[in-house]
Amino acid sequence: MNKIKLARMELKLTQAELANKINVTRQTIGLIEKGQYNPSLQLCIAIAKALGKTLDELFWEGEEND
Amino acid sequence: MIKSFLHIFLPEDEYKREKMIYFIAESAVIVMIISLCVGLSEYLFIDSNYNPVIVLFLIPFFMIIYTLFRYIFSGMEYTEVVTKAHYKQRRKEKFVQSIVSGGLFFILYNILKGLPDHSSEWYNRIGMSILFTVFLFLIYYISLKRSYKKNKELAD
Repeated sequence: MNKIKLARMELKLTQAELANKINVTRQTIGLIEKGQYNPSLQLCIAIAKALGKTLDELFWEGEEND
Repeated sequence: MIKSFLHIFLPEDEYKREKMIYFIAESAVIVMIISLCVGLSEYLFIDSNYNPVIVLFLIPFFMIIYTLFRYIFSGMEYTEVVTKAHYKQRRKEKFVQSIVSGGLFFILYNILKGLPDHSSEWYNRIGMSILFTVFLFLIYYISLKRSYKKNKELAD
């Protein structure tokens, strides 16, 4: 499962709630979670802050995180 | 943030904004290629004497229509419609909105052109208003349907 989706579910947030927090649409969150859209660094930081994670934890795909 | 006057026309959402820039850029590239081909053929082979005023109007018209259609078919207009009930409610709203717009179109057309003398002209105007209403609803419907389908696929 996508790391953003996992982190969001840990916080019991819906896609719409997360979208509202970072001022994007629910569709954008869905696309990011499905890997169909690569967000800008600015949006990555906003997502990481909203989910209380670091950029590494959410977006890094190195072996240590797999 | 990139400084550009285009920001006025673009949505706030990052994904939508990026897509819109692509659609506008695509329309500009198509216009450029067509203009180049037509210009070259005109210069080298034919001398068809295009009316420059019509051509000047056609270019922005094409760019607006192309961008609009790409936007409608992309399914990103109604990002909040996820459930069947919400979809049906929005469809109903759009249906009413189309009818009201068709009525306004009919009234405005008659105000601008004056009331017709013949019954055939009345039929023409009523027909045009009905066509306008149907076309508007079709645009709303396609956009809504595609948005709903896309949202359903992306929902958790």
